[in-house]
Amino acid sequence: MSTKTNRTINAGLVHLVLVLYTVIALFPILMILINAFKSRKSIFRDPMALPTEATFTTIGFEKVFAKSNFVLFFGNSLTVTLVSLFFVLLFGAMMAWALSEYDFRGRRLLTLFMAIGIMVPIRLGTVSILELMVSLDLVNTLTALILVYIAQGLPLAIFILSEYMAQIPGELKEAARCDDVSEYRIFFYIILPLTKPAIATVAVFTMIPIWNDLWFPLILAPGDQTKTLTLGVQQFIGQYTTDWNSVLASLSLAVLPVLVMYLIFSRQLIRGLTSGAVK
Amino acid sequence: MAALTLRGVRKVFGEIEVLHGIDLDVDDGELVVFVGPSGCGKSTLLRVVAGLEKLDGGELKIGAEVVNDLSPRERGIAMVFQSYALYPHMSVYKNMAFGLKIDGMSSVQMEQRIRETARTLQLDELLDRKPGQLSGGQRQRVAIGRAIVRDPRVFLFDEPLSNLDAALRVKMRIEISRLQKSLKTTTVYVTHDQVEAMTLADKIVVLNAGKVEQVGSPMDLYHRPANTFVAGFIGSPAMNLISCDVTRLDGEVAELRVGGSRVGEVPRMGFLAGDSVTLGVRPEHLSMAATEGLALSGTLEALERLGDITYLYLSLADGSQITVAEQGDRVLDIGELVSVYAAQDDLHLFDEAGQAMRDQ
Amino acid sequence: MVSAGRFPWHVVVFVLPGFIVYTLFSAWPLLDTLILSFYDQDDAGNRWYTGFDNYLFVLSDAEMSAGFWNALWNNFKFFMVHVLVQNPIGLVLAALLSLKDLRGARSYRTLIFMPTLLSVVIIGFVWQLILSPLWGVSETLLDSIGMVDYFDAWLGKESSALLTLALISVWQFIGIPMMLIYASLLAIPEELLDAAYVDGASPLRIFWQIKLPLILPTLGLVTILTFIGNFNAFDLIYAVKGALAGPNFSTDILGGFFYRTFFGFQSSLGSATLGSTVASLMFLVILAGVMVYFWVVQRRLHRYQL
Repeated sequence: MSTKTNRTINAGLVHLVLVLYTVIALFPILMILINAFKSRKSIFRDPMALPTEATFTTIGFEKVFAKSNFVLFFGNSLTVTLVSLFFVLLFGAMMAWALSEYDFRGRRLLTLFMAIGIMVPIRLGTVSILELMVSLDLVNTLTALILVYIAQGLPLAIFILSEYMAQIPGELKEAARCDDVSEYRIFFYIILPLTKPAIATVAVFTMIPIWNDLWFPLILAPGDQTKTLTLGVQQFIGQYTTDWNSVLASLSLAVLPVLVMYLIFSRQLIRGLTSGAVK
Repeated sequence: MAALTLRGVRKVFGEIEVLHGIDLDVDDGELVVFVGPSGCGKSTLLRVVAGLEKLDGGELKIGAEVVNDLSPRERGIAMVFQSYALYPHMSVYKNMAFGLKIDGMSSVQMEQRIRETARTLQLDELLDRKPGQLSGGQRQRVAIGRAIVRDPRVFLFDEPLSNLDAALRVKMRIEISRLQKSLKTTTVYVTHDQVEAMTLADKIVVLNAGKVEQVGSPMDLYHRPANTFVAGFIGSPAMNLISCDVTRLDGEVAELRVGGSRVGEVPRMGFLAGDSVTLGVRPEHLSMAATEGLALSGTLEALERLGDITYLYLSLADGSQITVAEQGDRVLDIGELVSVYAAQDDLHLFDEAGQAMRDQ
Repeated sequence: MVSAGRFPWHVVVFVLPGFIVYTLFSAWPLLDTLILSFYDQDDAGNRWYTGFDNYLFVLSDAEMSAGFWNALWNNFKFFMVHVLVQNPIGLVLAALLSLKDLRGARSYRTLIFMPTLLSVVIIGFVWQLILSPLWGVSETLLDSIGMVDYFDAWLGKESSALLTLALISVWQFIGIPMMLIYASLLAIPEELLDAAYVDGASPLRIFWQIKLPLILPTLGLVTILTFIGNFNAFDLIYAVKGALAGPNFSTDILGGFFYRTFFGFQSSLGSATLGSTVASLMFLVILAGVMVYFWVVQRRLHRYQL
């Protein structure tokens, strides 16, 4: 009969459900990370145990570094992701500003045109993209991936950023215009700094699918020098399926950078997800 | 309908105690207004009464029943929220029916009750509309209707008029007053607007920093504020509070000085020469026309002419500022030395702790 | 705000770079793919217009159409598993997380969202290992709760492989519906819930009669996003099952079918034009889903101003 129990469902039960699901969400990842540092024997004998002094080994990692170009792949992924990200943000912000600020002919049509990219997955144009890259002689270059990822990331970036920019108070730019500041300066020195929070959100949203993509690296840049980490790990594991140490180590290596990034940016990402993404 | 009794009601949020033991009696059928600056705990107190926040100490009774651990419904309260809090996906009718349905009322009886309530509030035409299709004033009435239809023992209003424009606010204020008088339901009303408090209340509770400063009828608070806080809070423009020194005692009277210059004599109320007191006098009780009583003179710093009334802002000898409300339109030069007078009866004296000193 | 008479060059400068890249590498290829689906080509690369022949071929050739319908049907099942499992679990998690005064809500959120960030490829392998009878982790786990008899090589069996993969996908992506729903639950004003509580509603009634109706548009949005994602999914099944989507194509979905048609597999040669046709069919499926969403779902699900 007490107010407490009436108002809220049993807190213990709530935590039980949430803890249970958190375990389900993390268990597989933990299993990989734990066992990557264990000897082959103990991986099988006692998979749930943490590595001990007796079972600890880094043999898997050594093999991965010896047998694959892990560092190169990691570098490729990093290059592709960062360069694409930079241009998605720059071009996206510029276009978002134009679409939200200036009233020019064809603005609505252009907005609609860009919106198509949110609804229609760019993968469906793969046949053409590949032919285009062949004719531009860009196959097996990181440039090919970067171009596609910029095109892929722009629509959502523009959508989120223009929503945000539309809320910037008009007085700020009007004041600048009265002082005869050029439109470029207004954009780079007033608008862009004010858009930072939204840009951070877009950055996280853009980065993840690029870093994780398998499709375009597989089709546009499968060469040994241009493989991304995701593709590299996929092929490495295909070759060494029975070498559990190597497989687990390579998976850990693929997971770790993302986990580290996530722990740094999780607050930003979640804020973005729970605010801008709702509309 | 029932009386409401609070005894030593305490509320703590984390480390911070926001209500420090509130004692209060609300009589059956009375309209009590909680008023105070923002953060004073008035809304928290209302939510405690509602059952939306649990008590951390003390006792809360509705009628003869201790309701500390009862849910809002079991307490028999109904509440009107600041944002109206109408269910946006339900029609006006369904909004009003929601609570009744939970009470297990038959649909025939429910329909009758809702139609009846709708008639008193002129909502008949709106029953099929959704809240999104209503104006601010209409939403406000629906929110009130949703509370009335429950036929509660106690009504709670949490700043219900703060989202309306000034004209509508006056209209709704009168309507709420009329409604409460005819329903005779015990009502607690929270506001930060002292005009609302003065016009609506049978009894005002002035809260400050989680404590009750004074309880009384509106005129009680106006004429006999218990301390400087209430004195400064009730009345607009606010009462002038002037620090004075008691310089000389002469039989039954004491002489007061502000920054060295004599302002007059007041009845001696047990203070000694050398005491510091606060002299309170309302702007509307100061007049240039009078020639006797307590005299204050200062330089005119600013003048606001509203036609029916003229506000004078004077700076006294010790640099403190006072406000004077002169009837009618007055023209004066800035920088002019102005003397104003107040009748003995209109003076308030407060001791160093800010408590009112009364004639003994 | 453009000064009259002068050509607004700055607008062009702002729009052009993004417009060019997007048009060249996204919009044009999409259109070109649609066009290409009406062409045929020979080994030398010559192309000619064939009307709807490609579509007729994909939809009527015994082998092709069997593959297509199989992939489409599997894709539909894949999607339905998401709708039926992901949405309810996401809803429950979001509802629990949004409870007032819940301690540690931020940590739960952060941790539960984690798998969503990892590459589908990685996730595929991770689960492959976890579910592998060789390693025996799942077997041991099931044994500890007395359900070892239910253990099977789920990923290897025709009857359970697709369901297992769909559940892995749900496991990975649950974070997104959870967060979107969570956000829309937080957007419900506190006073509204207070009002319902004052009206005497229990937490369950408040959930069903107040919260759920108000977040239905978000559930609709989540569903259409899932639909689009599912109908061009590829990575997970490719990583776990390869291009052949075994056993016996039982896990084949449109993304994989498209890949094989385009690049060929085993003895059959790939074809750019037939690949385009399959891509165009996928486009039509997604378009149909989006249309259903806009015309039916969104019209019915009114977004209330809160």
